[in-house]
Amino acid sequence: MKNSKGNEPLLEVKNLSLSFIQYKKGLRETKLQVVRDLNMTIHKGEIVAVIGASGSGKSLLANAVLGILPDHALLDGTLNYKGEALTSDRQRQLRGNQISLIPQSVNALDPLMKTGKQVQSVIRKGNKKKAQQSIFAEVGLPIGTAEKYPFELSGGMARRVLASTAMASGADLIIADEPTPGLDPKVLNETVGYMKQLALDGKGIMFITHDIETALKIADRVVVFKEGKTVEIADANNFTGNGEKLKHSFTKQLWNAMPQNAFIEGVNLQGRLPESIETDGQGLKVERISYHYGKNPYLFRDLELYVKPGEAVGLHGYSGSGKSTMAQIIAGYLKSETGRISVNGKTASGSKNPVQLVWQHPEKVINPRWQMSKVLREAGMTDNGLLGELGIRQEWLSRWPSELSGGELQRFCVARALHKDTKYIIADEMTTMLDPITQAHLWQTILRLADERNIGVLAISHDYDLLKRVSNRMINFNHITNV
Amino acid sequence: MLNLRQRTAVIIILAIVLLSVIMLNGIFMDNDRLTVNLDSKNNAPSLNHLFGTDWLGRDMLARTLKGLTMSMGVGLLAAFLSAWIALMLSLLASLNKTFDYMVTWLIDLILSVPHIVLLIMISFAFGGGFNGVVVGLALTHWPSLARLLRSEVLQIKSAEYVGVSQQLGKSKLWILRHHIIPHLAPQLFVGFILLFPHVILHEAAITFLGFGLSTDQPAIGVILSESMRYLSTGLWWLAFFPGLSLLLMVALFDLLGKNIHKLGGPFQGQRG
Repeated sequence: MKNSKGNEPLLEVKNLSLSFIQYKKGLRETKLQVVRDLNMTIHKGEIVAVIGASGSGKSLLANAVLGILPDHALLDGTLNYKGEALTSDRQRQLRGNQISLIPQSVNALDPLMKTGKQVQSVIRKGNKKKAQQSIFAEVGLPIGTAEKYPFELSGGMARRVLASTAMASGADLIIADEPTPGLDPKVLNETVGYMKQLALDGKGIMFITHDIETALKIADRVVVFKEGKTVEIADANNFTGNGEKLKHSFTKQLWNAMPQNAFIEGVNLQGRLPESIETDGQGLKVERISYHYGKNPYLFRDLELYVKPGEAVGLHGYSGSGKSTMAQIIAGYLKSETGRISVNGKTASGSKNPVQLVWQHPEKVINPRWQMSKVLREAGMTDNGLLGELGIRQEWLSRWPSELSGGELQRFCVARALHKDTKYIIADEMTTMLDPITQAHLWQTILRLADERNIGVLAISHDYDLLKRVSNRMINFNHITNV
Repeated sequence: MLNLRQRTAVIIILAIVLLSVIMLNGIFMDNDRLTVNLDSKNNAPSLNHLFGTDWLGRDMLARTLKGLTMSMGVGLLAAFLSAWIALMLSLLASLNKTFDYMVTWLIDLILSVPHIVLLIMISFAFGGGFNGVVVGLALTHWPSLARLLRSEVLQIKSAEYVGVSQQLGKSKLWILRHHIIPHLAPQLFVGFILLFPHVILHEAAITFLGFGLSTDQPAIGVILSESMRYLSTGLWWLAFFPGLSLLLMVALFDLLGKNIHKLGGPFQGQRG
């Protein structure tokens, strides 16, 4: 609030609600309310973080401000920009001009246009080329970058180009929709640095994320979202200790469930460190596997890995480093160019694979035409106790995947992967898209089951703090790739 | 005020009712109405004969209805066979690269030959008449649908959830039955309905050219072909009404197909 005395807010959202017209069974038309009673304000020079689980309606808020909601959405409430109502005509004029978006995915760059040109295209006056060059210099992109196409850039560089686009547009309000997923700390700090710089230049920033840690680093205030409702608007520096300064119990839970803080109550991994090394051929053994895509250099070469039964191994690495490819090879989805993968000395054959993978994006690995009960039947998963423990409600079984959120779907994926023949489970960024509470809950269940059924766990993530919490030993992915 | 789904459903029901009325009329019609009646030949449309009569005094409304029924029968049969061929070939293409190459080649081959020429040759080779026409139509109308289905199969085969299914130890047949075919079913059904107008129009076309159904059957193509000779003498109703009815029936089927498509897909028709 410190910057805003006397100023009218840049963006004001009051009692915003949003619903979709939807068709349930047959011909009945229903309204599905996804956002209600949403309130927030952004002043000049202020960064306001919006945090919440995936599917809680964060991105819809961004789309509502930009006026790019789908046709069947119904919007209600007040949206003001610089004190005047944001009508759809005004939104059309302002977006890309005074209101700018830093999109979630680097795919938003035009693959057929040189990056310099893409940035120049949003500059309105003056020498476009000069302006673009000075912005690239400001964000630390080499001079040659302007002449490159997006596919020639690394993920971090592409993100910087996206940020430059927002800076170049001269917009007063910037909406950043999950700009930092799975980035390594260096790129993350840089990206966050640009945001801060933009705020110092007097722009207002709405920073949408599920990554609370990053949000707290730069935001002045934090809006906490739960199921499309604002539960609390807190000052960023209230997030300390055990969350005593936070007002709402949900915010407290969210804060405490973070791996850096209390995480899971009563689970002590230190107590279940593996006993002395069993070397009678037991375990998941990955021997000398290599892989590369097309003409690209090898992601890893002669990679070796060993997971003992009942052990939890954390594998730490950043986005784009090839961890997911490795996970897919170990779980049998891709074929390695060399080497072999064996469980207790045997390579996997065509039948049920004892090594099961839990993917990062659950909505991609569930057939959208199946009801959830069929998803479980496919895996032969009938253990109602486990379903209950994972928090899967009986009524969800008759729903379609599109009617469940990412966190809810991921529980099904975990249940499916834990069928009774599973010996090893690979969790590839399993909880990256989820909120800390769901994350803690899922890991609790997996670790308990791993303990009980002597299942080996390979946890892959960019989140060092999380891995420290859930694994017995840690491996740095860069140390085993041999490239 | 009806919502989008209800409107769609009403359109579908209306189209089905109209089409069945035509069909039932054609099947159960008294054959007396088709007989020659030289007392009332070349009558212009009147209340007695809504579509007029021809040079032999036959009622054109009765002939048109009979012809439409005939065309619809041919159309349904040929479109069904065509859709079936398309499904089988697209599943075959999904087995391995060699089959895929062969199927793609076959699709390109058929599509590269002028449609009507191929149709005439096949139906002529099969001895013409009802059988020849149906075989000819069935063998020439599948490629575009097969191409669509093939790409759908390719897409779903690389879907992550099919990979998960494999890792859960499911067989190819199981995946085919539970993942692939349910995914194809709506496409196939809509494809079948949209094939139908094509088939009917082509049936009428080759019959009109004299390579299709024999002249004693009151098919729309035959009616149109015969009436050409009388058009110059001012008997416009001989061609106008049968032609218009054919157009309307085809439009009805098109409407039906598009609306079922809207209702069917889970991601279709969500716009208010």
